[in-house]
Amino acid sequence: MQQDPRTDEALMLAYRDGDGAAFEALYGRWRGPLYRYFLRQCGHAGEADELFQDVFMRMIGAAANYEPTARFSTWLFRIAHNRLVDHWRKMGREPVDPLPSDEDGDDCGNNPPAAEDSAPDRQVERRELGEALMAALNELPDLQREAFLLAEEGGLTLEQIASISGVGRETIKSRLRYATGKLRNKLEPWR
Amino acid sequence: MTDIDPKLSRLYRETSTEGPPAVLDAAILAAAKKQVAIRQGRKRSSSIWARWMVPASAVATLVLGVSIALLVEREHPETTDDTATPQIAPRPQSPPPASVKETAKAKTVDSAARGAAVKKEAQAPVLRPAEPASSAADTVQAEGRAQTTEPRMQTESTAARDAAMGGLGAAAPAAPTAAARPAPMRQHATQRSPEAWLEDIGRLKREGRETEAAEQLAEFRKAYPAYAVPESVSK
Repeated sequence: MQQDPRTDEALMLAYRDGDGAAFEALYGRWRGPLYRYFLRQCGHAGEADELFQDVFMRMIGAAANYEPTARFSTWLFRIAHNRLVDHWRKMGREPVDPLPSDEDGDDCGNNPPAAEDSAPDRQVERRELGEALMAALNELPDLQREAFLLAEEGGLTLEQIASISGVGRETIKSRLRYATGKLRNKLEPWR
Repeated sequence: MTDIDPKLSRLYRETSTEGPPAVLDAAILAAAKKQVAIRQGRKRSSSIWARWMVPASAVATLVLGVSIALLVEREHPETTDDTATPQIAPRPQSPPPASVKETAKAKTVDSAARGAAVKKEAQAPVLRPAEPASSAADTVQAEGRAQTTEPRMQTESTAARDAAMGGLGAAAPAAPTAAARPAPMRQHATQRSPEAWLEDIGRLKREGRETEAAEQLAEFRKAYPAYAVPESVSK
């Protein structure tokens, strides 16, 4: 299927003006990243399904008043972040920022590189490496993991992540640095 | 962008490929289509209204304006006929004493009679004999007479109002009644000044029509009880 050349914002505006196909294209682009964002943060497919559907329903409902004041991905993940915070609050889960007491991240400036792309005969090892990464990601503190996911799944910049999370750019930079360092450490045995 | 190691990022993207179940995809896409249909329905209905709003408003305004104009014309026929509007002249004499209630009633009746008289003047001036007094003075005097000859005037004013509305197709059944009356008598009662009336009575006497002169004199005294009738006429 041919990709729609229009930007996310143009697609959203087209959908606002009644172009149903524009929504399909937009949904095709963002269904995976948004779903994985929730799946990694919740760790449970049922909850991820619910949150994912809720965010897209909100997006559909808000389409009539949509104005491209920011990047579409920032707008979408802001809705997702707010929904996730509500969900955590309802579940009695309070995400804490472990940066001040976290000693594991100290060596992040001197980390070993991630595993190199291997030859085709090492596919099994590669899959195991992926599983180890997911496990390591799962062990990250919520806020570090969120920063990592917003960067990876949303393709957002430090400023955009900071804007969504309601903190400063440097805080996000620190969270990402600690998150990356921990992931590298966990993947050290596969090097 | 961010400071994430590109190799780590690539490994994550290779591994992370999950997506929502097909049921969710279908539900969300269906909701999106439904929303589009709803919005288009709203837009269509609002555009139909926008298209017809201006002509509908214009027609409504026109109908309302014409209705009000017709209503005003029926209620106050004299105000719509500028050419026939009489000028109010001072009363030649004070009206005979009457109670406040009777005066108010007579005025109501008289305004209709005045309107009818004015209409009649405008429509058929040849029916009226030449008179020295102005139509305005006649009207004012007729007002005075109406206070004393209320029942008769009421009938006449009804006929007059109907006659005024005759142009609109509201031909009055009372019109023949009014027409059946002798014309000079009606003129005596409604149009002539006391002086002209007395002059007519004097003329009748001079012509030897004593009975008619006496009748007219009696009627004159009823209409103007306070008026000093000259001896040449009253003899």
